[in-house]
Amino acid sequence: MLEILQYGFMQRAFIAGIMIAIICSAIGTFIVLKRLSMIGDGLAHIALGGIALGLFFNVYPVISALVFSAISALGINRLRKTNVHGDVAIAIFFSAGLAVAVVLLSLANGFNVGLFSYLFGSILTVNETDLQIVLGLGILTVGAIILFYKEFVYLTFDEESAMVSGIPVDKLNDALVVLTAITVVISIKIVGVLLVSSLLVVPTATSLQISKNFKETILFSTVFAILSVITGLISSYYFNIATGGAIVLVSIVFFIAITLYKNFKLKLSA
Amino acid sequence: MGEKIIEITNINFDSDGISILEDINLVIERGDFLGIIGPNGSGKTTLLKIMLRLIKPKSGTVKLFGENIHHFKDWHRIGYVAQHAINFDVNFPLSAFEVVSMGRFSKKGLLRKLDKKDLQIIEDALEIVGMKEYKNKRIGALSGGEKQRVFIARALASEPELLILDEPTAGVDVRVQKEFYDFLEKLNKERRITLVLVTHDIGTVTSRVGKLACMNKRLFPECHPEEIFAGVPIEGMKVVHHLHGE
Repeated sequence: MLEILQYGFMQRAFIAGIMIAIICSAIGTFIVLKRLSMIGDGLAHIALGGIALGLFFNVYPVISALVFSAISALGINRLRKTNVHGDVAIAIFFSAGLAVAVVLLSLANGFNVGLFSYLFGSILTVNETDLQIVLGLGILTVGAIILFYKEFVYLTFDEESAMVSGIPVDKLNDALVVLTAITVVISIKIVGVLLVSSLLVVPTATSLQISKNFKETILFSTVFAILSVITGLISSYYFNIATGGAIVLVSIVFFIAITLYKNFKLKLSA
Repeated sequence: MGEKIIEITNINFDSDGISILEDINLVIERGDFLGIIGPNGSGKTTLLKIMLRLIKPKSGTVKLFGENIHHFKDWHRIGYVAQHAINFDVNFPLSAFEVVSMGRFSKKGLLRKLDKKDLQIIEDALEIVGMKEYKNKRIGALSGGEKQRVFIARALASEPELLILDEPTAGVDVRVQKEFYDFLEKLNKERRITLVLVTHDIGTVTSRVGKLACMNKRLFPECHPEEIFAGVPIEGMKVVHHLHGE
């Protein structure tokens, strides 16, 4: 077990992975309960467009992906306020991001290998700069959630009453989607575009099976996410399998186990 | 005349060119217990939402506690229980205590945590509505009437001077309704909370409120429901589920 921690890339993967687990589960709790589970998937594909832009114009891809997804996240929120439904708004931006990526890919045949590592994630590519970005933005995200915790909880549960009690609902909704965009972009390195939304959704879905209040939901969700990341990283190292897939599969196993446990308990008490 | 808590002047509201509210004028004074009744689609919920700045009227002005609604900031002085408050996702992971604690947020402001005094006020609000033993229960696991009481406790936790209730007795049986009106009367008399209640159920409300107004696009103060709703099947008002305002 300790052997794998000797390698610098594994150390970085563990630190980045645990940070991502924490922010994904915290943000995920709000996103899932706001019924915006698909926004993670949407923003990840938008981020892919941003990454392609970065590779194409030779800008650090994480930065271009961050800017591209944060602006799109605000766009989704604007569109949701018109007569376009939430899922349609996400789908429109989702398609636009993917289309940008595909078009740029066809224009420049040179960077498809780079783009592939973003699609599926690759812990080997987590370098010092990435780690600093993950830690910096991770702390910013956790800090924002702690600072505005009570307001985020209120507007997630009951937007109208939150508005009546004077909470700046529109601004905080914008903040929440931008934080989601940040979370998605910095998670892409580890789990990849295709699987990033699972980390936002699955640990929270598992936690919701057994939690009794909001604090428990975030706490259990964080525990499941961290356990999934650690178990996934270790098994990907020993069995030589894709890290992102391993992490997500472990989180799914947790979901199934907890759901079965809950149903078993319900049957016993019935 | 007492202090004017709400002053509504010449409010008009349209939706897609269809007139919903016409020339509404209303003054609510401190200590009033006003019931507004009207059939489905008469604009009751819309009027409440305009009072709470959730909807912009086409024309007219609203003053809350003497201040124009656009400049009004003391939202903690108002408690609001929405029409469909209890129709939320039953699996939402909040305890009754957490729901009531939201009532303190407006008073605390951003970035400030709840302190001991807040927690005491939350406990007291739960006590007033008789839900203290249920405080750690998941809100979705409570019955309709219990949920309703938790939402009223949330409104009370902001220590409001004005409480606005939209269809508070919808889906609640007659016995619970009677207790509920007893409870409102107590809030109004003992705690001097000004109450505004909107309902399409003209059964109990007529005998329990201090003042009664009727609505049907227009507002008729101190009305007699039988006269205003001549031609409207009054029994139907009670059984038809209220859909307006969704």
